[in-house]
Amino acid sequence: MSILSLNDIIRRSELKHILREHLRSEGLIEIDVPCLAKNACPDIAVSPIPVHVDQQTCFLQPSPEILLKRVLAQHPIDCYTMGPVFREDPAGPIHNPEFLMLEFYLIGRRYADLKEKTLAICKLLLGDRSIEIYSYQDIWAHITGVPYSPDFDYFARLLKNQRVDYREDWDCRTLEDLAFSMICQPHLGINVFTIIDGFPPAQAGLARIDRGIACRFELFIDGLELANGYDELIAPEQNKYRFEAWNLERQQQGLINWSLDMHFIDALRYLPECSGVAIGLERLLMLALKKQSLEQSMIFSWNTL
Amino acid sequence: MSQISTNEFRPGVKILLDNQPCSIIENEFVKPGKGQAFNRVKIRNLITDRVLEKTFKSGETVDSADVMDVNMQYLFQEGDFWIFMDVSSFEQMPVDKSILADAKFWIREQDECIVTLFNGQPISVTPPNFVQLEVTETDPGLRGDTSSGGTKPATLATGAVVKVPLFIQIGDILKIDTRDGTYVSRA
Repeated sequence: MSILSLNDIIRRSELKHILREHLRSEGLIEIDVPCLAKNACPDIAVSPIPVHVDQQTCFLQPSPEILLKRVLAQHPIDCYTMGPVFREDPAGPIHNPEFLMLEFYLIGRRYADLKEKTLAICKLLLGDRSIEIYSYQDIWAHITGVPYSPDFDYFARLLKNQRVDYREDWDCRTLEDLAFSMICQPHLGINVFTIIDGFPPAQAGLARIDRGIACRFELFIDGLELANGYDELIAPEQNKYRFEAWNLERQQQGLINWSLDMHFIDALRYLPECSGVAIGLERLLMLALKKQSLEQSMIFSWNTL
Repeated sequence: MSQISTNEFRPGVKILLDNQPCSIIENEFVKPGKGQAFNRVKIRNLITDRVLEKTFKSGETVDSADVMDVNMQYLFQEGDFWIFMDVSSFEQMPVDKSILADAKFWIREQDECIVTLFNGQPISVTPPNFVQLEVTETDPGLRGDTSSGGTKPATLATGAVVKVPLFIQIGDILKIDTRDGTYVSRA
């Protein structure tokens, strides 16, 4: 395994340059936030990497979200951050424990604008494609031909039909995640940009819930999840409630449980209405370089380290 | 019994599934944007040799299987048992004919094989990748025909039948690839 070719290194550099120019022309300013902090978002879906610094447990940040929102609470301005994030996931063709993320925020009720700008960035790097938008509920019927009905039997039947092994003692939510990953996702974003917009409240992350639907979208390209955007949840009490719910789930799964980030909870009182999106820049660069895996598009892949 | 986590799943790692020893062939990490991560694992059951795909929740643990590959020399046959000897300890081990499966077509006395043990008991025998065996029976060949590409069956000293080029004669020593049972060349 060797280091990426000079040609590809130069292309990566150019693509990032193009991106920064574009974001600047859109009026977003770049804000750097630390990769290492004393706290991390307890989101059950991501696993921050704990490290010991100055005799306390700190975390390599799995996303710049918490720290950027604190900046926004003090300085409400359209902004982005482009830098490495860390997650304790095993390395593979489309996963690496460290990867580049582009996250940007728009101040005000501009969720629709957020989707437009996310698509514009993808077009800039990958060229034009047509766009299809489904709700999370509708995508199931679209892919499987069977209307979405979120119970154990529904997902079990889909998995059986596709000969995907699962265990009878798993709960409905686990089966749903497995079925989405194995059955729906491979068909999303094939020659198009597929946006799934509007998720069940259980998958809200830190998105606002409006009339029972989480204002959250995901963008898929070539079967890969490329972006995840929220109309951000502002209410401090609700944020706190979601953190506590995640922590409870962490406890049940025997994962690290951490104290609430009170700086963040305090800052929420001043956070303006905003929407934000995280774009998997490392995957986007991989697609822009027309490579099949992150190992072929990162300057150092996990196996070269 | 020791436990092993999905994070440690690598090709070749042996785990216990429904009390049967299995070897991991491939381990794919699958994760939706928000939700449970999984390991989709391709596994070979070392008893039945069947390959299956299993799903684990990432971070789950399973029992590891006490499976060892030991270099053993085949000594002689005794009824339904083939007697092997561990080349480092010189201990002898009888292996039932049914466990040898196709391996019995390729090995002769003195050949060194890999015997796979599960909890100390043999579960499979892997012959060397290439063996040299004498032709005991085949139709008369066409001398000098080395290029026409036709084939004919030939019976080898061990009883195995392989497809060989037309010029092969009784008494020729052939090099055979035991992984797919094909003729490679004259030795």
